[in-house]
Amino acid sequence: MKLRVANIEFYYDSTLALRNIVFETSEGELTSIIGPNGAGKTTLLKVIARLLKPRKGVVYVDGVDLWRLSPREVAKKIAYSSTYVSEGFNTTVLDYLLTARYPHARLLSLIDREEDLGVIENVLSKLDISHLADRRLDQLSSGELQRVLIARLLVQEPKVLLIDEPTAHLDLRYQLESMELLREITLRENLVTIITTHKLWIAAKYSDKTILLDKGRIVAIGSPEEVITPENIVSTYRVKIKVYRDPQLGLIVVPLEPV
Amino acid sequence: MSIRRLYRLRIKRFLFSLIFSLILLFLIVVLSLSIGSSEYGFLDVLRLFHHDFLSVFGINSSRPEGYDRIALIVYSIRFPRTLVALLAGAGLGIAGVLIQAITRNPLAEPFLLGLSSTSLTVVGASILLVPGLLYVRAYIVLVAFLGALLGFSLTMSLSELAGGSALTLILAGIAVSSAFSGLAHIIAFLVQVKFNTPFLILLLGSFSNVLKSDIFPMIISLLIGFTASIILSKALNAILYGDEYASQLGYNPRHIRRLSALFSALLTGVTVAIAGIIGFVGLVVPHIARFLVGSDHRIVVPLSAVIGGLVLLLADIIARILSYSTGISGIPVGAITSMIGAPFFAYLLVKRMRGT
Repeated sequence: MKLRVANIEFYYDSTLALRNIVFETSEGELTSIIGPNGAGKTTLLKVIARLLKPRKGVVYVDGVDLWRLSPREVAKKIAYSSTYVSEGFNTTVLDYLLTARYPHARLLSLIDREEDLGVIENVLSKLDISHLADRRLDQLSSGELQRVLIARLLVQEPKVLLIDEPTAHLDLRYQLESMELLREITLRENLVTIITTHKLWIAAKYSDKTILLDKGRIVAIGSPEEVITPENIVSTYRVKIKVYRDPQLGLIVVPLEPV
Repeated sequence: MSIRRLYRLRIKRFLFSLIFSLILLFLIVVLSLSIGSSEYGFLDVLRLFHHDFLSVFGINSSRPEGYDRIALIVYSIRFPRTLVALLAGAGLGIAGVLIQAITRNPLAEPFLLGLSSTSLTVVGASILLVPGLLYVRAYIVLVAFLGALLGFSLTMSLSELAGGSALTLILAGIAVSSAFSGLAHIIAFLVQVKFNTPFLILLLGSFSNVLKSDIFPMIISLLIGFTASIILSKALNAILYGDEYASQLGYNPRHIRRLSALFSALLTGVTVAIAGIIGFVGLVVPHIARFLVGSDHRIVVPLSAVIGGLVLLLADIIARILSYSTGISGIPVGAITSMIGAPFFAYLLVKRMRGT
């Protein structure tokens, strides 16, 4: 299982948003996309999710061009995080998770199969949130909601996991919990996981591969040590940082001041 | 609780709610058939049903004395009105479910979003332009459908212009429905005076002038609308979590929204064409259904159809009882649904805007 992004070029109307994006990532790998606001992180994730069509370039999943697949076939391979929850409809966690099985059912079939319920049951117990199944989504705490959102991604049984800001709006404990969880399932389920993040320490601590984007281009790509350097960060974020390598703690990133 | 048990529980809840509301519906149908200017009441209708039900199976083949007259009144006079009210309610209930889902707004419904008054305006205007249309039901229904569609697109565009929030949608709906309601009043006067036909009553919604020939278009539209909504039900579930979510599951949210708008306009339009403007049924019914069985549209759609029939038929019964007991003939059913629905709307508004 491999994801290959080849020469992507994307425009919003006539404004360049992504240019010459090339990289590759394989199963069991967690990749972080970092970069200042407006660098194109979310756009890139959406292009890989087939939510946006690039003007040029191809995204290959296992050698197959995404745009040659139907949206439903893509939905079986790729799950993209989406965090909107309507209020006033009393939707429960189970309602939400059932929808994530739709790509696997036959198009016009109305029933949920035994297998679908089995997958949901497994994912919920793996994430230790079986007790939330009957709760209303709009009454969950942000930590619970984050787990439910990750559960949905897994219930979809994708090969590629794309998550925009998995630690946004979470306190420190939940940030760590969510990232530990993501790293663990990436390895255990052999997924290709790509996240975007504003937090350099998250990229440093959890990613196998880091991509630094700026103005729609890849500035640096490689291991966190290779990418998160004072030179790279000052030229993109315009922030001075100090980086330590600790034999036990790994990469330590300390932001100093804006320049 | 395990997922499977939870799941079985919700299926049970659905079946229970469905059976319970069907039984209730049957009783209300009998009740509806028992009300009229002639003296035959609830028990007469039940006895007639019992007898005719048995004769379907070849038992007691001829009706006892007096039953022919009851049968005539019940089947030819009271039955069309009852059936049309029931079908209209089912249609408005489903239309409400569709509109609430695609706007992701539990305060939305066909009347509040201006579908009904634009529909009636367009019907009236087309009768004035082509007087022959008045007697061609199929055309009236088609025109009413197009009018409802126009209303929905106007409200949606206006709401988008104003920023596209839950509140702007409702306000845009008020703007569109007020404007067209004014227009509909003028046109309704013209039609009524010019063609000497009861048209003003359609502004308030009424089943008083329902004919046997109205049953067929109602059934056809409801069948189309119901089938389509069931087919769309999974996509509607997905769209509740946002367009992006629906897209990443492989649905095209724009198609889903257009199709749903089309079918809700059909269901609203056919009711407007036959019975006029009936508000709030599309608002109240989906809430009752969701309260009973949760948010899954695969079960909310069929349950809303039954509850919609139930609610509107009950409203019509109240209207008729009020008419007979006060001697004021033809109290419109739309007045009853507004009296019950508007306070419910106010309650939802407060609940939603305070975020509780």
